[in-house]
Amino acid sequence: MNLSFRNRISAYYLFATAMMKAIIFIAIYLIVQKTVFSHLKDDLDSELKELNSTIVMYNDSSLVFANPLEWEEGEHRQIEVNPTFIQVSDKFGNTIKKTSNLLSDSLILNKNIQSKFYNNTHLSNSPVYQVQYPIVNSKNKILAYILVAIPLQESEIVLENLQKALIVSFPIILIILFFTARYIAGKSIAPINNVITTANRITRENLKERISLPENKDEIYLLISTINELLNRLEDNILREKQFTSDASHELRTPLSVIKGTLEVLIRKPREVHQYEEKINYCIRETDRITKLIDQLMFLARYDSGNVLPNKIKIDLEPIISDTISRLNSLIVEKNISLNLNLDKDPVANVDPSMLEIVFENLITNSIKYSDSNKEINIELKSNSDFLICSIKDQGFGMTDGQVKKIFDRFYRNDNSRNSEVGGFGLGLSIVKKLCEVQDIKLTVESKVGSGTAFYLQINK
Amino acid sequence: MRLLVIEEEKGIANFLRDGLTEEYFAVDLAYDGKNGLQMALSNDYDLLLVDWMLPGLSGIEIVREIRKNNPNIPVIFLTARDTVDDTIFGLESGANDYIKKPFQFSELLARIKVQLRTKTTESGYLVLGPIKLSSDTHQVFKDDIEVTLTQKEFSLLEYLMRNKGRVCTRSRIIEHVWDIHFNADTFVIDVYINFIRKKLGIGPKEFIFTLRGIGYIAKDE
Repeated sequence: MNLSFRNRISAYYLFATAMMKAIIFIAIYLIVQKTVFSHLKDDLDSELKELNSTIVMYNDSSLVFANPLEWEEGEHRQIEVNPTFIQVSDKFGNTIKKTSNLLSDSLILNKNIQSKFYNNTHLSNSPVYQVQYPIVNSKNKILAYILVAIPLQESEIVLENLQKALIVSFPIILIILFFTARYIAGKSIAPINNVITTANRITRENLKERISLPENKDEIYLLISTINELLNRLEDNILREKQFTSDASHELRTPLSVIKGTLEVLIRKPREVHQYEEKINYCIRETDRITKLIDQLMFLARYDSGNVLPNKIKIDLEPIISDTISRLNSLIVEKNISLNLNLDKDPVANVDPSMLEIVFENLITNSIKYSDSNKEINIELKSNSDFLICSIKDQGFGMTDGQVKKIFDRFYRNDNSRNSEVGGFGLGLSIVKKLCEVQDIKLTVESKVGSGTAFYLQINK
Repeated sequence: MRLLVIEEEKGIANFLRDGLTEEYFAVDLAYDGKNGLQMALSNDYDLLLVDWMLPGLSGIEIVREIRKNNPNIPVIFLTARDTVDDTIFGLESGANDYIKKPFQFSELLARIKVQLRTKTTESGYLVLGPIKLSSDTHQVFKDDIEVTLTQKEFSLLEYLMRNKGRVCTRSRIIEHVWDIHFNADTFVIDVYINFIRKKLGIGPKEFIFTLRGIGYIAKDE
């Protein structure tokens, strides 16, 4: 059944209380009934006792009624107020003697039962509670029965009223309880409705909004703070994604704008051949830049999709490093940088060689880019039992802590690099980070403004 | 007409300078916000082309700063941002116009002219006695006969006609007609004035008057 949480709680509560109430009401009824009948029984017993003393047995075979006055008491004569009916019958059911208030009626003897016996029966259509008691001689032979009866009418009315009251009050109380429960349940889940409305309001466009926390640190507080934290993470991711899209579009548009603008200006007027050559060559260089950017973006996109796995092998890192350095030689010579290599013997590790080559190329290129001419770059490779620790240290411009935090962000370039001839798109270190992640290489950075930057790679053997 | 281009991307700045110079503008370049703002505040420009995303100071901050001193100078934003929100924000922050990269050079030129035209006459012609000058088409007419002027001659005449009836000092003429790299003697103005008078066939006491030691003034007489 598709009930609301509130109604479901109320329904469960109602079911439980209905069961309990039914049990309690039945118990009340039974107790009252039992009490009423035990009173009647006491009355019958005391009457029997009185009668017993007035009946004398003669010769073990005939009865003598010793105190006839007892039979003439008010309660035995009248019918209207608290009458008590008494009758003596022989064992065949024939009346021997009866009180006057019985008039022409007689009490009915149950001949099959030979011991003291209480039962509900009727006297001329009105209910009575009756006891029959055998009179036994010394030879244990039944001579006659004493029958005593009192009307049940009043007790029955009491019980009937009680029953009516209980039956009528049962559904009324249940209905009241249902609405009370529903109200309380509604009150207790009100904060959840607040969560629903706020959460519904939050879309991609207004991710700033948060659900307000209740005062009590209860389960709902926990739920809301969990949702809020989820929203924080989502917002963070979406902002990052927006930033990335906006940056990527800017980086792609800029060289396109340059090419378009340069060519448009070029064809506005007729020019010398050398002017055409110069501008066209410039545009070709710009298209190369776009190609390179697209390559890097594709590279990152491939790794982001998570289906590129490293092809790890045990390999000596020395040739990888020296190959990379020789490829970057022209840059090193251009800036007159002295590059010092300090590698332990046989630095073997479990890596993907082509990925590691890109890592080294990017890190060393960065070190060269961000160093002034005539500085040093130190590359060290230390081996211990589990890892190879590789460090690449430059004496370049260095970075503040704030800048260090952002260097792995895509398209991040610190201001001095944006403006200088350093170039690049700010994707190199994002690529390095990604490649280190997929190979389980731990990458850390230390940097100090003015004294340089060091990158550390902790590579599993 | 002298323009300042504040644009980080050198490639864009360079073709803007080349193209606009060919269109008779004196063009100065700044590659970052700080320099750009300084140049904008210390020189008298007719229009600014400002990139939104600049290192140092952003385009928005530059425009706010410039507007404090010079609330009327036209500013056109160049930007790669392309959402409607960005456009609105850019215009609300004080730019007169907004052009998205990559843009058509001819469109940018048209937008620049629109911004400058609002400073001139309704008809689009500047008039000085029998002389008519159209900034849009770079044409000069005397008695409805077209006269061909060089870039600099045209710019100089345009500046004088724009400021008709007002004294144009030699330094202000240099500032508005030549770009910041021009360091030569202001004597060059006299040379160009002579060329203009000769080509238009007007005497030294007609329409363009020499104020010795001060500069020039254009008048309808």
